[in-house]
Amino acid sequence: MDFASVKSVLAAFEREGVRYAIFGAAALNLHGLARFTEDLDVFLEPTADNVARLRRALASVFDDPSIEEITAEDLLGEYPAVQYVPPAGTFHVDLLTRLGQAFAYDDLEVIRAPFEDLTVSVVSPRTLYRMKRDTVRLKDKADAQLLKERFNLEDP
Amino acid sequence: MPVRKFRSVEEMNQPVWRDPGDPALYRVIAGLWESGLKLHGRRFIPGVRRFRGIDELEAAARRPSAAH
Repeated sequence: MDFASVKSVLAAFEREGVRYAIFGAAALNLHGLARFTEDLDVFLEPTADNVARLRRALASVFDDPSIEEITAEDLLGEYPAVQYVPPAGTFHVDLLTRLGQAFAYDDLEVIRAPFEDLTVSVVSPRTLYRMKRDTVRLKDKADAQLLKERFNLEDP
Repeated sequence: MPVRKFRSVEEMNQPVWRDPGDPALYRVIAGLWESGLKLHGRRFIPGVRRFRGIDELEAAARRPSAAH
């Protein structure tokens, strides 16, 4: 992923007051385990206002008319997963308002974490563990085990 | 790069956790992401795509749809 661009996106989220939480591999990085990833996974509070703030934030970083195609109608309706690839094509931002039946934005434990000179919103190690623990991918299960050991997490 | 010594191969492969806020963490992340980008060379097709769920999105992301 393009480190500088990701940081610019997150700085814009903060400026525009987007209500979001980073999850996935980027969250694992911010909790202290450096890991290569090609995507920035972002959970969004599912409101029309928040989606509008998200669009403003992305448009302040990328000169890209396709950002207007990210709509509340989709994210709050039949398409709770939207992928945005910026013009350089070096990474994708995966935007979610629901994760299956298991997780909605209000279910997440979100903490504020440093990202160099920024402070950003990230799911807590416990929430990230719960998200990764029950998936089918072996890599996620291995990550879950690492989180469990590092943060002394227990299964409910 | 400094020399690091280990008592076993298993020890070498242990994940290295750093504390959030430690400048070394962000140097390592930046280096890893940037070198991965150069080595992998994958480029994604710009734009917006919508999916009915994360499974559908992840399946699409795994497809070799992007030009190198």
